[in-house]
Amino acid sequence: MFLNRVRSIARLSAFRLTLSLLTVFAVVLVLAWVSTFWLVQREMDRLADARLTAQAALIAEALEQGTGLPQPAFDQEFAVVTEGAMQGTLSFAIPDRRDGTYRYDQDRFDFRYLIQTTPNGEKIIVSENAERQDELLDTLTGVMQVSLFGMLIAGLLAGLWLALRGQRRLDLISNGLAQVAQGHLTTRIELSGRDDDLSVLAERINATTERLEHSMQQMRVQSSNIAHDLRTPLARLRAGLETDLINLTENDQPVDADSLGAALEQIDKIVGTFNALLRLSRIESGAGRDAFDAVELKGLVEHVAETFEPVVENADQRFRVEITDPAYIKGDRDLLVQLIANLIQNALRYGSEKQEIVLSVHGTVLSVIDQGPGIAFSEREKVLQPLYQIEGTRQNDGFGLGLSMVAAISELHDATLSLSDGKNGCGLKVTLRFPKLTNL
Amino acid sequence: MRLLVLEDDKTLGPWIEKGLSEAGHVVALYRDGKDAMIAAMGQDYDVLVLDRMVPGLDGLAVLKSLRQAKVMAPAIFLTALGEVEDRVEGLLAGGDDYLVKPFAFSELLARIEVSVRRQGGTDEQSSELTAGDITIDLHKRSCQRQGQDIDLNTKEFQLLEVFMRSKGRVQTRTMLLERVWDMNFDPTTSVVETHISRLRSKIEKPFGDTLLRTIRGAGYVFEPR
Repeated sequence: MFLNRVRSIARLSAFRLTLSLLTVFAVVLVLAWVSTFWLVQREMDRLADARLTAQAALIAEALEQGTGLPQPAFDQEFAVVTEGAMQGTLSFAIPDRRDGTYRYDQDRFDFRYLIQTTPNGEKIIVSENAERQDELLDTLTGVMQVSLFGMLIAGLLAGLWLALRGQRRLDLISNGLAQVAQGHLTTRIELSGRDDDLSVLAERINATTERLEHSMQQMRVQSSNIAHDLRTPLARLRAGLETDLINLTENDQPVDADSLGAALEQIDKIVGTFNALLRLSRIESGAGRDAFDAVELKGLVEHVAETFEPVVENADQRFRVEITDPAYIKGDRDLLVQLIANLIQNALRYGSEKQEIVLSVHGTVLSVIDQGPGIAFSEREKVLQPLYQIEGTRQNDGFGLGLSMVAAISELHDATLSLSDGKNGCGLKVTLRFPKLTNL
Repeated sequence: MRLLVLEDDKTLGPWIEKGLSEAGHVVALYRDGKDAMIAAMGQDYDVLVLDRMVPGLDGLAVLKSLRQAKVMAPAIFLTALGEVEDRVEGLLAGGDDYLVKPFAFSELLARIEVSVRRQGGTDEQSSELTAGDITIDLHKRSCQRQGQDIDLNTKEFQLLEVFMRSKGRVQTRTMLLERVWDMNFDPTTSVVETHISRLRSKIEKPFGDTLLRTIRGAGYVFEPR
């Protein structure tokens, strides 16, 4: 139980971060500590040695001039050995060593001493109590230890606190995500208090969930629209076949080619809707960008015009093409043909009688203008959604996919699509602004 | 022609077999990929019609091994998989054409004939095509009926050319859109109908008869006298 708790804390990223930082700090601190200790000790030894040397010089001078030996300085004592006889006092046995400074370190006694031999063969030994230096060094060590362990403990506690605090916020996020994963798309993560990276993350997640919720909702609407769009031709198909069957069995009236042809037409319409939906979802998934190539807008528009002009004229409407300064764009020719075809088809279907449909290209901007009733501002966003048809127009047999296909193709081409009023505020103008082709 | 059909569906298989037999072909229908492969290795067929998803070996694997065994008969895939990637995969495996279910029988028949003609190379070297009392010159892009010049625009000319090359056979809207306008989608507007009516007004109306017959739910058929 306790072990599990420790393990779970050790797994927290904030805690791991603290541990690694503490390790780095501790290593640096120990290095600093060792070098300081060494430098301080060396400096103290140097000072002590200077004092010992000065005292030894005084003694040597006194010996040479035959005057009395000086008083030992504070905390110092000395001895002079001349042919076996010893003057002065020393707290420890005279060491049999050559000239130099040494350290005597035994039991509680701690001395630093200097041995110097005068030219007359007198051996001078000056020693100084090193106890105070040791105390100083001990204090230094103590302070360093306190700071090291203090830092380690404080750091560890702070890390633990940070980790647990972060974990509470992370738990909120992770619980929220778990809810979303279970399909509760209305879940929003609410992080109280501070404005930090976690709250930014939570905001992003909330935005994502909202978008997902919106898409799901749209998809539900779409599915019911699809069902409707398929149900209508299916109903007609069924009605036709049923009538034929009744006529055949009850009235002995043979099935004629016309009614079978009508049935096939309905089936083709259903298949057409299916294909258009599949094509739309394919385009929306972004597939096909690899096949992009440079497309000349002039040639493209002329090709489309050649195909659709007779269609428009047959519907007793006029068709005009305006081309100024046409550019090349990067795209899929097939899809672009479909895009323009869909726009013309929409203009034909929803425009007014005897209107003029204008297909124009200006640079990389392509637009189709009709003189129909236009689309109300509030509807403009919705008509780009699949299978949406403005109230009252659903019975017109449209597939309801035209403009959403246009929207999907324009998005695939990174073009901006805008709907606005046509000339003199009447009709609809659909404009596509393609990005400039920079390199071929 | 001798045709091999690989199709496991109990309704579609016999339907294709019957239709093709009625069109004057000798048809061998197989329901299992392995049987179809063994048959195609042992005998010469003019065209292979392969369903992609069948028991045993699937159509794609069958064709791959046949191509490795140097069986070069043209192959048409029948499939419910209609994505572009699936088409490309089929064509890379050595397929010549790809037909997505559901399809019109007339379309299958037309595609079978086209693939055989393609296999035979450019069959007609002459630049002139004649059907009944209509003659078109492919180089000059000119059209004559009963000795009178008829002025056709590009699309009308292409449309007439397609019909003249397949006289007596039903042409579906899909096939016409593909062959004349190079469109792989349904523009839903009456593109085909409009251009056909324009063509009619030029090649039929002045002569007071009918060459192009509309078959409701199927397509058009060109029947010159």
